[in-house]
Amino acid sequence: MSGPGTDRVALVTGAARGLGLGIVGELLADGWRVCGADINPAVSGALLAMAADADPSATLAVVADVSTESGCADVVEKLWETFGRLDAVVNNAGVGGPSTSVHETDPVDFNQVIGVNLIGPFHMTRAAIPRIIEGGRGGAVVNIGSILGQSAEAGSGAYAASKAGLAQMGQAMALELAPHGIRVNTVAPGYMLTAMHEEYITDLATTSGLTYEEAVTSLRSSVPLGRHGTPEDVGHVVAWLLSSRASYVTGQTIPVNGGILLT
Amino acid sequence: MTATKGQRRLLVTGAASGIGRAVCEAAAIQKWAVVGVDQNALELDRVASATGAATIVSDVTDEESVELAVDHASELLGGLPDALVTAAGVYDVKNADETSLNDFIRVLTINTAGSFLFARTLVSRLRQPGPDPMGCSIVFLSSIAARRGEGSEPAVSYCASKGAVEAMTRQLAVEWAPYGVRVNAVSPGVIQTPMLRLMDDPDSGNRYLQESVPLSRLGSAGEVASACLFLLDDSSAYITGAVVPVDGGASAQ
Repeated sequence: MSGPGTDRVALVTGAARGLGLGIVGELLADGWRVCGADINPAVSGALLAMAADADPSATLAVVADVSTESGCADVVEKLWETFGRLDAVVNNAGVGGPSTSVHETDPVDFNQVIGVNLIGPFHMTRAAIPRIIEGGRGGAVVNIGSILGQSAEAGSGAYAASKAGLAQMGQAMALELAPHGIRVNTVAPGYMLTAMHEEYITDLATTSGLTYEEAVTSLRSSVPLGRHGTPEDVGHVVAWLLSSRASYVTGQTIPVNGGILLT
Repeated sequence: MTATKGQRRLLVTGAASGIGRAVCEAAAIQKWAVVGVDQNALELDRVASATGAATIVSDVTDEESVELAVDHASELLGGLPDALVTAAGVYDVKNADETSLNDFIRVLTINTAGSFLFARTLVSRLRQPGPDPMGCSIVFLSSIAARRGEGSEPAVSYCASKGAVEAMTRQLAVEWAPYGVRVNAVSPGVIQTPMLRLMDDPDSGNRYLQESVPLSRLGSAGEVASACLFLLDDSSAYITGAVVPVDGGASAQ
């Protein structure tokens, strides 16, 4: 097996399902060794199944809460014990959050979204980046943002703020880490076929009096390419950004949304 | 040069030098079938012998010449191109108050209208009724100059031409998405090509790289070509209407 990631080690958070698992799959196919972290214990089985055709020693699953400082430290420590190097981080773990108006949002709900989606990547950056710098080989970070981090809508306040914050933190990191040869970019997915998006469709159907299928059709008609995105769509773009093929790309947000923000 | 089944068919304008040439080289390594278009027949021949690309000498600002080029490319490739990169462009450094209407229109015509003509001709051919409807992916070349002013190297016509390319990217992406056509742009920063003027004075050039480019170096034409190929292939299947900066982080600061 040889590919752009041969011998290199990537850390992917939120790896048990959805986009995170899709990203793991693409990185394995590119020859990376991958540590997948998730608060959901299903991450172990999910990674093993994903690695079915690859070398099982190429993956490591860690069950941890990456919204906490100790959880992030634990993941990086276990990864280091197993692989002894780190080249890339994908901050993917995230939660959808409340669909209430900001002035009616419970502070606990707001804090939870910011805690997982923004403060988690902050803790992971503090835990992981010194290891990449130590390696002296450069590296790459991809933060998973959202179209709602680029353009908010009513009822998305907490989530939109967390994802816009993540993209801006990533831009600052790109400038800070460029001298170390570490590139930092954001991938901003649109409507994805994931469990998180299914919750969004269910909410949309309830609030607009549509059936679930009608809500899906309505969403798709707003996407110029006329379909939902898939974890593979996002995984391909993350794999590109982490590879040397994107060696002059840093500090950017790459939209993976079928053109939805164009109209 | 005729493409085999499943092989990508790529048409590149401005293929004789710089980024266009690097796209031909990168696509040849991926075993794509490539036709390079340029006005410079001599340099084009060199690219052909280095990459195996077929070539067509054409003027991107002449409507008839563009239509002939697209049709000739389809014959050479054994089918309409399913990938297009419009890298033909000119860079006219001149103070704005000394830029004549002719200067301005010349740059807009080559950089913006030339890209439009190739894209429109290709998509109108794709839309002709046939047994096997196919889509394609188009990559335009923008520039960091589309979004940033530059005091020491003024080129208002170039800035305007690239800003227009980005607006065109978004409009054509929406308009042509139902045909299975994706349209994106790559926005290079300071790249080591014959068009580069930054390093004419190496001291001030190096100062610029340290102060204005987070990765502190010039990009290579190959690095821009990599982004073009990413946007042409299925890795970017859900990306359309996007502008991807390849600038060492210059636009991020």
